[in-house]
Amino acid sequence: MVKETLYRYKDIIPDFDTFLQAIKSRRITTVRWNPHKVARKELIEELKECFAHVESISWYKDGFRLGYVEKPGKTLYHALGHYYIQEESAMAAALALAPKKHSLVLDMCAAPGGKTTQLSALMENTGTVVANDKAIARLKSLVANVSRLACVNVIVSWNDATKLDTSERFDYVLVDAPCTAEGNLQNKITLMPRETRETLSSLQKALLKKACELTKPNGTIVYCTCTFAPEENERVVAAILEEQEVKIEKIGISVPHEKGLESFGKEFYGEELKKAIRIYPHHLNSGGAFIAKLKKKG
Amino acid sequence: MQNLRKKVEEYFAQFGIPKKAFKHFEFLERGSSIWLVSKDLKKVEGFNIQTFGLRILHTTKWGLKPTSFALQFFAPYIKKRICSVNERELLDLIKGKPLEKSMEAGYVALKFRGKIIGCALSDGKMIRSQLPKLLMQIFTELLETTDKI
Repeated sequence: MVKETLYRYKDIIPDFDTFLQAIKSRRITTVRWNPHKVARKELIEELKECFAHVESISWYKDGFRLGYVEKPGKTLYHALGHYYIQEESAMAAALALAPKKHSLVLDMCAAPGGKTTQLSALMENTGTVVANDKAIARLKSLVANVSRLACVNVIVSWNDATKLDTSERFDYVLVDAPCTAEGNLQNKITLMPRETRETLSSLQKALLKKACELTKPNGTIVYCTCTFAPEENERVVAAILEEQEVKIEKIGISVPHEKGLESFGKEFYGEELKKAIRIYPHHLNSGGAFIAKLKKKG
Repeated sequence: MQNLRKKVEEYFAQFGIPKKAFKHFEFLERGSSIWLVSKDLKKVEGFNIQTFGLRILHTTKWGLKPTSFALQFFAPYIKKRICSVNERELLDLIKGKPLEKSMEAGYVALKFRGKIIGCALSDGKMIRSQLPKLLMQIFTELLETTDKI
């Protein structure tokens, strides 16, 4: 069933058989250093004490591959917030946003807080990260992670991001949009139906539109999902490029990836969309991700 | 604001935490909680705010109480009021069993395997866990399922 549904991507994913294989494969555990609680050198020693294999991620020195680990969270150092367990592909979005120290950042759909705590780390616990989520149930894990990792520059808020009514304007906005999560199929029993994809596409567009409104002129927006569906990725970004005062920019990180799509089936998104990136499970033995970086015009 | 800084600095001095440990931070008091925040944290309008930065103190009917996450964060500076526990003692504390230990009454920093892990309360003769549910759950799982702690 899953395999059949994924066949719609046969013509857009190079090395399709490798991709299918990677979808089914067990994934390498990766973790990210939390600089608020421990020195990097000390963390490496701690990880080596607990795990047989510890390797710095080539494209991101603060991330570490631990090989195939059963329970990476069951260590004293995890309890103390020295590291955060995060899929390698999920580490790319915050790096693409690259917030400067002392800036004002909005993470619109923040729970459980992986990208929020990474943004906090990138900003060296300065400035402000507003970590928002709509689901009260998910806020518990967000607050727990922000506390465990001691992110003193994070404000947690509970709002429907599409309906935010604020005069605040942000230097950086991250839209980690709800999606069909095809990139994390390994953890799912079935794919979501096509109708869900269409509904989500509308929500994603509304979130990205609101992000454009809440960003300062010359501010940066990163839109990301963990799905392969172009309807939730390139289609959403293309629509926003059409109607909002934003332009798409190249993403300056060296994570292995494919370019965004110019078209899919009968839909044409535009050459500019090649500046977005698509990370497939076989790139990193991790989940999938789509990332687009937008700049609000001055 | 200066009064709040003084209140926090004076409170944590009992653990040996120097004033300089707080110099890069600011404080916010909301209700019964005091939060540690970044110096330039913006008080954003129009958001339904749940938390600010890291909650470090809260007021109880017996006075101020430090949070376990605050003691973890300032661990490198903590020199006083430390209660070291082994695996069995920590598990007992988590299970609600007081630990016989003669210490000055008041809140103490629990130390386990060389790391400050959180808060406990001493009445002079006995120590009781003040770890939040989240940490109690994490440490219970750790102690019961692995020796890699």
